[in-house]
Amino acid sequence: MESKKKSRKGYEINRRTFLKMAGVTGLAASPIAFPAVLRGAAPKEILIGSIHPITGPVAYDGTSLDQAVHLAVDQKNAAGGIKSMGGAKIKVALMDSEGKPKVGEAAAEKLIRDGCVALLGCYQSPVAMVTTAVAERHGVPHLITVGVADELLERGFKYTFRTQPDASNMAELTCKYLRQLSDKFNIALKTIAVLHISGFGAVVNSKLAKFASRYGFEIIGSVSYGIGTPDITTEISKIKGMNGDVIVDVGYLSDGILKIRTYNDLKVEPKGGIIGCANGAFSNPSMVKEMGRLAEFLMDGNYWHNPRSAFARSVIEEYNKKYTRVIFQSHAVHAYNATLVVIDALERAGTSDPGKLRDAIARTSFKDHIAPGGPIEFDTTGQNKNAMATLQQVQKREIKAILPDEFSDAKPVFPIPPWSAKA
Amino acid sequence: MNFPGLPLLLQSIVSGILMGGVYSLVAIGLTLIFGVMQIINFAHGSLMMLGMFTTYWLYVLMGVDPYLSLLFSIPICFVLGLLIERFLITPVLDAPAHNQLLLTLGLSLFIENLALFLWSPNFRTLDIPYLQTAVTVGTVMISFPKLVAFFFALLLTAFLYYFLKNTDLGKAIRAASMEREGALTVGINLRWVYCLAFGIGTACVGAAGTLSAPFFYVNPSVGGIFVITAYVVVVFGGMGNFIGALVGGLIIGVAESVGAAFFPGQLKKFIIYFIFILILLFKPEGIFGRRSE
Repeated sequence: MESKKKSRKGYEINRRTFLKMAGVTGLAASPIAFPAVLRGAAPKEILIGSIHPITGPVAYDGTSLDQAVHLAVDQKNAAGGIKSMGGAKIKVALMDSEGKPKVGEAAAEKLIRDGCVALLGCYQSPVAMVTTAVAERHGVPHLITVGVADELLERGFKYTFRTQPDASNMAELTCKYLRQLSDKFNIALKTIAVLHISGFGAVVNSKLAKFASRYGFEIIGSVSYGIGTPDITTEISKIKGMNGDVIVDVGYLSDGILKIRTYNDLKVEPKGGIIGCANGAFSNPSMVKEMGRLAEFLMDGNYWHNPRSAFARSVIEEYNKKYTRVIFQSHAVHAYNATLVVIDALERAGTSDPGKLRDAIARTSFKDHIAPGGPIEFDTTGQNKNAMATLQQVQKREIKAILPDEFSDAKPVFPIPPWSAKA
Repeated sequence: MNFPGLPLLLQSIVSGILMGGVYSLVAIGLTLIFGVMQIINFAHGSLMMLGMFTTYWLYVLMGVDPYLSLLFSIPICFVLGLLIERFLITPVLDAPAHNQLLLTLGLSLFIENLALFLWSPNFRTLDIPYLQTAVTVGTVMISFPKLVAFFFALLLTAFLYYFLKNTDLGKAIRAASMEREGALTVGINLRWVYCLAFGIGTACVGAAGTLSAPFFYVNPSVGGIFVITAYVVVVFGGMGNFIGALVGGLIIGVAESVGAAFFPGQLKKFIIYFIFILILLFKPEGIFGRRSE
């Protein structure tokens, strides 16, 4: 309520300022069109906003996303800026969401007030739910860098776009890849138990429940836990007691570290293995670095870069050269892609007017991105039609894509060896 | 809600007790500081994080065994506590409570962001093989680093209890906590006692940090995870009550863990906060608290 009041107040000031300006220059323009006029007028510098959690419990991930936005922009600026706009340079304005929807909302309001022509964010779906609503209200395009919840695009918004595969895609493809592994290695797999974090994990869990039967699986139970849980032993004992053929695991990096240790302590070894789905830990280089041998052979059905693309490999190399404190992880793939989409749309639109930019984004068909799958093209809801999750596995301390074949750089090791055999 | 079988119940009770030991140690530092100085230390979590990072860096840079690093983290945190008390808390001792609260909150933000700047938000772990061992008794798994943390926590608590009960300094601290003016009258140097209490409280949480590092991850915002529970423990056991914090830690640890066996997800916290509200409503001085004068 309060923030609504604030924004209205801010608008009045804008209008008053406008009226003064209009009086001086004698321009006749409608007050509603004003923000667009100001932002569209041949800018020397194009401002885009990045809203990510760079402090708080997911600061590590948030930082990796924001860095990807900066990298894409820096590369474009170094290559001469937006050519169709006379080499205009892009500037990224970063605001910390602290992982909180309220803070994210205020950040979106401020960035738009400051003249950002597009927003990029937010890593956490609850935050993106409100930042996209702000962007929609102001008519500014909002690219979701990472934000899994399908609901983000189910509200009929015109200004929200997402390049990454959504929860449905990741859940469905994880089931599909599991079935392929089961067939290929001739290991009968039937039942799945799901361990998931609340929040986004609950979303993924519901999608798993929806798609499992399509690939011949039965979900025999799910166990959830909250973020910031100091001890996860009871939950893992519970999931172990379900005796599923496969455990599908959904969560972030920090809880993932605790879970992997506890799986090992309790020697949880279902015959189909423990497989992540949209898991922030299982295909995270930072996890692999920290967990050492325990990380070996973990699998994850998740978004990933295209290991067969030389361009993708060069981007990662440059990223890790530039940012040594927080290294490249898969979240960065879509932050980078989303930024490329904005850049590409700016180039095609030849203007930074947010409305025209929105239309250009909606018509995107962009091949030169770093994820697997076809060109980035958005459907009417704003979802990238050609986004796809792949299956990754840790092999010899490196994360390799193993399925599907055309986007893989290693062969699957299956069934997953027991914890004591990991070296 | 579904009813867990016996093995799961036993497992959850054992892991709850083990975690409870760590909660106790964190809460004891908090309750000591509150009991003596009537200050709620919001920087407690960030000080715990410093204890964890001390252990982490000693291992990574110099190969010091994490448990041996108690010999470093305790004195380091003790001195840090003395300095914080002397230069930051003393000036606001007579200020309104909300000023003190804002000061410790500000301090915690400062420490956390400094850590973020110095060490990045990366999650770090101690990758030492012997920390990945667990023993199984019947159907119950006991994680080795948690067992060690539990015993050290009890040992340190017992040591501190002895110190407070039987030494002159300890008696002076207790006197200051019970009756400020009376303590002044009999010639106790309150400024020094405050310094000492804050130092000991910080040393406790530093030790808790060191003991948790082997089974947890280390990260600038990690302290909050333990300290939020510790606040509940302190209220539960009675603000300023030493034994209350110890027993409260164990009870809250078990309540949380057994709660997870019955309830899904965030609901396991429900039990803790439900207890918290009941205590505040019906026995605000805490289970072991003395009636306030």
